[in-house]
Amino acid sequence: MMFIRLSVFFAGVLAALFLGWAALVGVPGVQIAAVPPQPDLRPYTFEQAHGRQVYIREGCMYCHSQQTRPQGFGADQPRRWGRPSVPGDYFYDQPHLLGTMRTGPDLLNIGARQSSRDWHLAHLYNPRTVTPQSLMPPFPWLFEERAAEPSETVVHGRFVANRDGLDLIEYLLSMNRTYPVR
Amino acid sequence: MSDSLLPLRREMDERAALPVLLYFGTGILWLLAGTVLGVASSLKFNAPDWLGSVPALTFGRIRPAHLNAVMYGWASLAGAGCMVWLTSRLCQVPVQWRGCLIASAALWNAGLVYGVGSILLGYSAGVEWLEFPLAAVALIALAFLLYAASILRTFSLRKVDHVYVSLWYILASVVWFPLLYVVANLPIYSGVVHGVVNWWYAHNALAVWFTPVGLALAYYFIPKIIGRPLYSYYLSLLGFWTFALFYNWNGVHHLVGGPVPNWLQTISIIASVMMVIPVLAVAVNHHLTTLGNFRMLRTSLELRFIVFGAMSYTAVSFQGSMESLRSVQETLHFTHYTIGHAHLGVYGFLTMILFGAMYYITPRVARWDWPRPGWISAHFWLTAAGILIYVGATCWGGFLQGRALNNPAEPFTDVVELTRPYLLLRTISGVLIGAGHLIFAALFAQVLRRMGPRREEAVTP
Amino acid sequence: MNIPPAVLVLVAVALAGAGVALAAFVWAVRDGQLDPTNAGGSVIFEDDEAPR
Repeated sequence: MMFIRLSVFFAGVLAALFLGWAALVGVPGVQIAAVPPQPDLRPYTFEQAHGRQVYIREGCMYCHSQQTRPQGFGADQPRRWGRPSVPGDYFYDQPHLLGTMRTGPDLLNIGARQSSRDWHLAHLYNPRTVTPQSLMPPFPWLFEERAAEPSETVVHGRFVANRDGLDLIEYLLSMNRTYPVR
Repeated sequence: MSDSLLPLRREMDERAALPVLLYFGTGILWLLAGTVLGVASSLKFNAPDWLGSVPALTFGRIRPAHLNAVMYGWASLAGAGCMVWLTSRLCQVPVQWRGCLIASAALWNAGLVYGVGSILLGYSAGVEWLEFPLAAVALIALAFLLYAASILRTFSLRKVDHVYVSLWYILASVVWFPLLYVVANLPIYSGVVHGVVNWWYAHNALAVWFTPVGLALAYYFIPKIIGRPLYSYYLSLLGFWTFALFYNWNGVHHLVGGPVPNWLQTISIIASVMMVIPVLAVAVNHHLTTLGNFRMLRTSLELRFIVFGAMSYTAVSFQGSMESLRSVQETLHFTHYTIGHAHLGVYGFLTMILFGAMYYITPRVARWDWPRPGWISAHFWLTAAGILIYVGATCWGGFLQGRALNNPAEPFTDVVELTRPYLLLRTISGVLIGAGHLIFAALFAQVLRRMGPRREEAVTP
Repeated sequence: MNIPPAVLVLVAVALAGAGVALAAFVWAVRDGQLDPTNAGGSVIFEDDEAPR
């Protein structure tokens, strides 16, 4: 005696997976797909989009989230990390970079919090030059050693950012969802 | 009865030998690679500038390389090998379509080399648990389908009247995982929906593949080695259906407090708490079958690993149900606590059970005994102590980290400082675990090179 | 109260699905597929390697 018919077994097994998909992906997919982008949200420029690829390549999302929690849930609001984020804030994000870790601080609004290009340059070259307690890895390969143009910032005496480094900073500076939700 | 079965059993083990040892051997190589990547990732927290100028070895690349190497490499390959052997035993039929399995192992490893290599070289797809580029995904999906074909073929020729509960989990997993893996890898999602698909997948990969492998093995080996049937077999079958129903809905508890609809978070939290039911069904069976036979843990090293794994399953499941609650997530989300929970599940539960199962299966298919029982015991104590320290350090450290994060008066740099000793403890525990893995790999190599005693027939399990 | 039509469709689909599941459950019980059995738990000993 099989206890249960094989056809019923496989039908049940497939139905279980399908139900979970419908509830967790299907219905929210329909609901959120109807949400338009926040009107004040700008699409990424070419440089910002490339910088976002560098962010992905170096795995920044394994330590930095990009989501801000509401008042009364955690300390994102008193820490002034930005108003609670909404689905319309992420309209242009593919892949998503919501993140699940805060080994480092949330970056959803880092462009608003830290708008100094020079700070980001020094920080990316070696985070401990600006924050001695930091655990963040250094990224010297986003820089090259050459004579700087007058417009360029020199870090550590002899390094200037390369295309990857500059675009990553463009992306970080674009991270600003402080506009009011509409 | 057992004498008449001896030729069949020998044939089953002989036919299983090549594919099973191929899955085991390459799985162990990925275990070693994944361990090095994991310990190195942890060391980076203790010494952030160590190897700091090598792009391929930056934390943000070796950390996902670690996860993919141990999940799709070690746990999947070793698990597939165990499932192939177990399906044959439970169906009383030699392994069918061995060519499929050998091609599967080859494609699987090719996909892993391509995928892990891509992450290290900077071509990650950027989604946790789904970092592999599509070409690597296609190779692994094909490898899994070949494996599934062989399992289903062997099952279709079964010589037994009753389909044992372990087979329920195996059969479900071979139809579940390919569907989940392909749907989640479709390059069609963006924004918040992508986040939801991401965690629907990542939690379900555990639900439809990794946990069924661990439970199928525990349901077989605990009663088998102890020599008495499950405490309540009927309960195990009912437990299967609640497992199938509730586990699927858990994923969004990874986004509690995030920009996803509240109702969605709520149903995932409810489903996470509902997991108490299947977990109790499993726990009753595993622990009450073991109860009164603890003396066997001293004599059977396989059982020692497997009972440790079963206990971890109960612990990690209740921990997970509690952890999903909003009030708990408020503190623990975004912290190292989650990492501790994940390792209690994937290591304390699944990997320890895989070790026990491989210690049981390998001598039977290789027809060669383990050369040094003392080493097996050392392997157990190193990994058991290692994972307990790991989970203790990350969970306690993560709890303190979460409380500090939620205290706006605490500067962020102080939160970082606070976690340092726990992160150091994590590296130390990783080294202990790694030492255990080296012993395990050495033992396995010695069996393959026939360095120990030849195996006598008809040894009691 | 303003209920979006999509929600009404979803509720209808969910109720229909639940109805199918209930009917399948009743059928399976009547068919004897859920009769309590503990006998299956012993099949793993059929290949035992030595008489115990």
